[in-house]
Amino acid sequence: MNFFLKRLFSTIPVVVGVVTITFFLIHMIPGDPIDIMLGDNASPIDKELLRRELGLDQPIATQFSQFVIRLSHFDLGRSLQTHRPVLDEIKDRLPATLELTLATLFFSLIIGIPLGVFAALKKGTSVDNSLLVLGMVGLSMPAFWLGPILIWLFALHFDWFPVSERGTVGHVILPALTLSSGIIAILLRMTRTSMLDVIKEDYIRVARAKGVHFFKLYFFHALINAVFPLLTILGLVLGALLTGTVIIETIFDWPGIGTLIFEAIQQRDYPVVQGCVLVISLIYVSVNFLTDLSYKIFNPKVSFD
Amino acid sequence: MKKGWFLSYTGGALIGFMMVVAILAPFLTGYDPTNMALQDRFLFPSWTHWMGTDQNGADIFAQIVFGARISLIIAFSVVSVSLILGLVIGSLAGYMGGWVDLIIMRIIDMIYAFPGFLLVLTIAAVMQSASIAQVVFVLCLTGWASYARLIRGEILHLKTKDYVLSADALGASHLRKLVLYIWPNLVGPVMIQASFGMAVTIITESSLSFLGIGVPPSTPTWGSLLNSGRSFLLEAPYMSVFPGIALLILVLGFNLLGDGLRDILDPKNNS
Repeated sequence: MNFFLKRLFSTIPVVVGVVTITFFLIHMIPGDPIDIMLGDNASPIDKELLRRELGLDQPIATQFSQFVIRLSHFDLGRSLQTHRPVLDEIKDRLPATLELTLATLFFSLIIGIPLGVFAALKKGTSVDNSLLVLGMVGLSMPAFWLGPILIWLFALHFDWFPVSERGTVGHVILPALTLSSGIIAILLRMTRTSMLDVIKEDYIRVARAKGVHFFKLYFFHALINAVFPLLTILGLVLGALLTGTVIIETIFDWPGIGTLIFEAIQQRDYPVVQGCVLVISLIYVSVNFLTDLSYKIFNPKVSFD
Repeated sequence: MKKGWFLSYTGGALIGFMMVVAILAPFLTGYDPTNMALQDRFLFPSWTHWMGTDQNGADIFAQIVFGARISLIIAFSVVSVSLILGLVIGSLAGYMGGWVDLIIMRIIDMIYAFPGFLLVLTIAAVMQSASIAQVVFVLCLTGWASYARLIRGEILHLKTKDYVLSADALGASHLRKLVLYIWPNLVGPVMIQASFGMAVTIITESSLSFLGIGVPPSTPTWGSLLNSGRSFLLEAPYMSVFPGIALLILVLGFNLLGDGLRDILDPKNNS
């Protein structure tokens, strides 16, 4: 409990920082943000209205306190384009991103972990080495290259999957595979290292001496102990996912939060940009918090001091 | 040959190859990467155009070799500036300790609280950056944090070593202790981090160009080439294939180098 509280308290300044930085992002726009948002041809009345709506006519301290007060009511302002509340826009898009993220995690886990186990069992052989090279290539391959290549090959050339947008299970396969390539590579290496440590342990040797079946031995007894350190990289993986969605969703026209932020950037819809950055970062911070907690729960020896 | 050396040499060879390409760019191709020749649109790779031409009739090979310059220049600048900033800030935090450390670490925590690329993307978009210098600036704004964190951690450990303590007992100044006794021990870990940093920076910069937010559109970059290739996947798949391979070679090179260096310099970490 003590640990939980300590960790929670250390998260507070980070959340305050996230809120502050996101607030000031909009003030970093060089020149008059109103001019940039509305363009040069806007009438002075429109400009004044928008300025008042965004509170940009107030002193900066007032603006910040209002921002925080509105935030505590879950009010992220309104989109300049659609005039809908930013939170509603995000709520509409979040399920699509969630779907893509879960599919990606699914692919990463069912491909990355077995490959890692396999590499560990074949340690030092050509199988192991080629898997490591493959992992290295997967890690170095930019998603915005793999995506178009997969579209070209499997959607245009072979016509197995739809080219873009969201819909059936078929729609999610290509973007999820693209997004998972890097994560598969990370999982492969982590699982391999961790498995190599575990299979040296006495209890594995005992189990083998007892004649436990090969599959049960490695994929049950050993793997359960080996996947544990993988928890630590959950935060890292999530960062890669949240970052990747902007690019992957753009490539595949996936109607998630990634395309929302990208469209908002292009249309200079700053309240939406601000809202998205804030929401994504807060998700990120909470998942990292939960990762640390779960790690502590599963492994009480860990200390974060 | 030990695995670490093999990885480093392979990585180094890939990087060296790309650097030679970047330096010799004007001698490798007779085409101007920005030259438009609309009668030559979408030419399939051939002896005259090794990698074909794009939607404006510009030679793709020329764009790739000149693009290598942009990628390398940006990556080297970002990594060296971030590294120097990280060295100064990380040394301050680790060496001074106390409230200086506390404040610096909280700032680093905040930078880490954002998924990296998202913050870079937003800052670049907000600044409406239109020059290479601005892209470098944006990438450094968040880039120093990882070096500072690494260096701070190392210094916390190094400053308790006997040789640092004995230098202190002999009356060495803070600067002397840092420069002569502490910093030389940082070379290994920093080199590993910088190598991976190069890989990440190259991908991030290309991602920005790919989204049309980075370097000005008239500059030939791998990211913008991939971006325009995406619209012509049916007519000209080679427009997407080649710049990606170039990117892969360079990023793979730095990743291999980093891995190899880690194997050589850090024998404990035998992953």
